[in-house]
Amino acid sequence: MAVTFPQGDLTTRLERYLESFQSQHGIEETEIEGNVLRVVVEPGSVPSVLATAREHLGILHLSFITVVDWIGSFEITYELLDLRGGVVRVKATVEGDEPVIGTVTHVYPTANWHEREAYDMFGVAFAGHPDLRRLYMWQDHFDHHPLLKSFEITTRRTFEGLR
Amino acid sequence: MGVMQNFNEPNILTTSTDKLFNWARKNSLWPLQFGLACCAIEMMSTGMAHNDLDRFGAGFFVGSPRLADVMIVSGTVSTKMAERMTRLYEQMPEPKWVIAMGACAISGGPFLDGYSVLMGADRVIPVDVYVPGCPPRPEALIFGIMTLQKKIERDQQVGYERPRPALVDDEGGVMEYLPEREYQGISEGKALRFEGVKPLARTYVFEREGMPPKSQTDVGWIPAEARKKLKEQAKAEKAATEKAAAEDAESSGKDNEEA
Repeated sequence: MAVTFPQGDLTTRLERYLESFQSQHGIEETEIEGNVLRVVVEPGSVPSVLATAREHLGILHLSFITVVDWIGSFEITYELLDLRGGVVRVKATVEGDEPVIGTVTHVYPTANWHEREAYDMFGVAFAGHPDLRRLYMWQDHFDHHPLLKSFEITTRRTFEGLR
Repeated sequence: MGVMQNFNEPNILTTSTDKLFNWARKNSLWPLQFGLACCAIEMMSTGMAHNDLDRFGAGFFVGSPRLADVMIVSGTVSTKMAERMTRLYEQMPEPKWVIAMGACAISGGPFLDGYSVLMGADRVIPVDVYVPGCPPRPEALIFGIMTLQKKIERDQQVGYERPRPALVDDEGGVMEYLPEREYQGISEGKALRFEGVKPLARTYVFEREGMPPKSQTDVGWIPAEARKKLKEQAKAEKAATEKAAAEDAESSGKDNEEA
């Protein structure tokens, strides 16, 4: 399969990404710092922003999805890498204790496991995910999302009765 | 064996089956090749030339639980690994033994408070020998294996009564037998159910529309012949559907004419 990387040097590439994000989506806040383009978007437009990055701009690689629990709201970050040194960080904040956000598995297939991880650790639900099971934790009868701030280390655990 | 050479034929050795069986078993302990964490590095070092576990007949690490006699649990056991570990243990043929190597396998070690850590391998499988250390030196593991050999030596084939955990007084008399631990079902991924533990509050099941995208159902590389066959199949299917469509169109056209 022939793969074409985004052309131009780092600054031009990042500026081009920024321009096309701004022209096609409602962007709340942007910033270029070093080789990183930071973009803050509405949670509803995350799949379309990532689709633009993948299809239109040719950014092929989703590095990771990470979540921060701000107690009451969740900040979800997608980091994209254009495989030539440029990094695009897409941030969205979801309000509420039970966050739901659209899946990006149809854009980046690798998001499948990343989203399962985010669900497992933080309870973030990804609407439209083909198979949203726990990735790391015990599937049966472990009723916590351990990286939430509300999770206590002394919480009753799976094997408590065997201790 | 030196005495035996003085015999002329027939060579007869009188012993009990216990002694014979235990002698054979203890000198050919095949460990399961099963490393979990940093203790596994020490286990590898024990098996290598410098410490040479083969001197004790225990240096042959087998890749299948069906061939193994002893499982060395070398490292932290997470709850998810507990499921797999128990299944491996169940697949081993009797007689089988377990060595818990290192602090983590004994009690959870430094990770004891972790949300995913099993507090000791003996929560889910019966352990024969505990080797303390973090990680234990190869000498310690060798000592553990020698201890296991001594334990096997005392084993009985007939009239065997399983040792049961008990509270004993100073003279060794049994005061009270402790309840047997239930080990059932953990290898099937089912934890024990306790009263008062609520099910997961947030479990999401989304309806999927249609098939997943092609990128997710891609089977990857297939042999050239199989690819050719699949292509022919697809072609035949396509032809069939086209033919059916054409017939449909014809019949509907006729209907129209008749009308």
